[in-house]
Amino acid sequence: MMSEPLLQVSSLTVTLPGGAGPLHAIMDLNFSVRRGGTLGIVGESGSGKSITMLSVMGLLPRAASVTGSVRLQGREILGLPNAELARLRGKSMAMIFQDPLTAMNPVLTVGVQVTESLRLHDRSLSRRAAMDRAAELLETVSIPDPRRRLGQYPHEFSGGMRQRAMIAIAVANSPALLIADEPTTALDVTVQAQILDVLQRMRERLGLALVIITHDLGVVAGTADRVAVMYSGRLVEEGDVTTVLAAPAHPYTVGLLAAVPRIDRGNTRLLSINGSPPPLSNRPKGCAFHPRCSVAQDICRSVTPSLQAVGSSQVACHFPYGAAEASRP
Amino acid sequence: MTMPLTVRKRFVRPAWLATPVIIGMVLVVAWILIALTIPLWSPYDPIASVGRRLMAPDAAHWFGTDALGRDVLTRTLWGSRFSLAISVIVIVSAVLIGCTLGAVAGYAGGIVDSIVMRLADITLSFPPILLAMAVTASLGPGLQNAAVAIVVVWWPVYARLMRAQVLSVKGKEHVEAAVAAGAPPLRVLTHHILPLSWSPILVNATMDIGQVVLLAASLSFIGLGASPPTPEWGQMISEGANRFYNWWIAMGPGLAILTIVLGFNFIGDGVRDWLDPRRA
Repeated sequence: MMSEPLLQVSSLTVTLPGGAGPLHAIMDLNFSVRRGGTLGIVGESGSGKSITMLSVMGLLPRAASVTGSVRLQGREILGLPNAELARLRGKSMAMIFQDPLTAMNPVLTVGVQVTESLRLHDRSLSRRAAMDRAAELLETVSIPDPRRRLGQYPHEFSGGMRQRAMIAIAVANSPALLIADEPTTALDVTVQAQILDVLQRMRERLGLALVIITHDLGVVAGTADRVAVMYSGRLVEEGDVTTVLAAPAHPYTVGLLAAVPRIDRGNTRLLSINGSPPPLSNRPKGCAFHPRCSVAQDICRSVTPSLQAVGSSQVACHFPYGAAEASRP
Repeated sequence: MTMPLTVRKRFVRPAWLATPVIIGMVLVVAWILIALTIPLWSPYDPIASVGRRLMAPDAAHWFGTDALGRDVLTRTLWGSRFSLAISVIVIVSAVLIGCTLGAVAGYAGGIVDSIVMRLADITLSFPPILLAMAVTASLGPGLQNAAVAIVVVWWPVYARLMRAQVLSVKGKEHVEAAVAAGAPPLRVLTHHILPLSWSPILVNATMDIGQVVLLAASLSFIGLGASPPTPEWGQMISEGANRFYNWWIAMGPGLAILTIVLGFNFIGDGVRDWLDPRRA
């Protein structure tokens, strides 16, 4: 019998109020994350990556309507009252934000912010014990001289150090699920690798499941074991990271991979996918990707493809690469 | 032999500490000292007749005497106690009430926000002096009631300011991060929003102290604040107003109001520059 995944998202649909009518930001999304696994969610800006994870955390504005099901450790958390959610946030699931510069409170010391997350979920913890624990946490995310650092303000930290501190805050209560929303986008390339390394170490040490939201396929290749590709609010391809990156089945994934600059391929022109993602208010009929797709047929313009198993992955495409190559005209 | 390198620190005057700011500080500190210590060195009794009526300023009575033979300078100095006390009490109350309501309105949003802010709009739609007059008149004349009336007039200013601050800070990422860490709403408001919201309140409050001195004096001037024997500035000016040729009666309290309002305004300018994030 298969054990239940840590996070199970089923038919998640998010609708945001818009000036010209409701905008469907996420449509019928299904995915799961297993205990100790790492899922990379990739897609262009506006594809709904962040909204998906914000709705898991219950952090979307009240105006957004969220339907479907989000089960964390077997428990339905969608639609929980806010007080219940607050108890889960930081304790069972935590989140790291894109820009560590703005994600920390500028007027509180780092120590106060790390201990806050500890003491929010353990009222019996004394201030002193929390400080000791905070110092340990900074140590585990490789911040040198943690005692002194705890007394400093965020502006005294470099970008990389700040993101480490954010990770320390997020893992303070050993959450089962850690969501990292573009954790390295705002950082120098050299620092990126270190941060990803810290995230991996945390995953191994605490046995937490990691969800990394990114538009950088390199990050996915280096850290994730599963990858989910999103386009215009839908999952278009989901599968084992080596399979998807080595033999992508959806034309969009193929395009994304072709657009990655390669240092080993000589001086060729950088490829890109023609056009830009459709606005939420004016999504094309059928497959949302068809106006930009090189293999689109009539059926793509009228019927929205559903996820189907292709090899070991799931793909939402009428004409996936790798499946029955012969049927492709 | 090596000498320890000592760098003598010379005081470099920061840019926000401009000359008017220093003048303002001197004026305000002087008035505060006067208000606190006047019982110890008062030249004359402020409410007793100490000389001939309506004497022009001379060596014994620097600001002359009023229609009842009381020393104008003494009464002016004593008047600072009323003006400073009323303006500080009024501003502190207005800030506390206004900021609490504004913060709650901005953070909660929705119907709470609408109710509080419409109430503030209604209050602000009246000319301040007119509304203060109406409230004092309905409560009955007196310094305390005048103070209550000014608070009623003044809180919406702070409610609006605070609400705007909370709205802008609320959208910042560290607030979302705090929510994501499991902080309950009240804690988010008190620890992650309010500490970033107080600076314009402080600037406004400093400047407003002077305005409250003026408004309190105005209410007394028209007979709704302090009652006659009290050496209150507005009250004193109204006594001098119908004795135009005895100009010194109104001059003392007039100068007092001028200097104290000017002082607080200058300090307010300094505080604003000091808190300016673009300050070098």
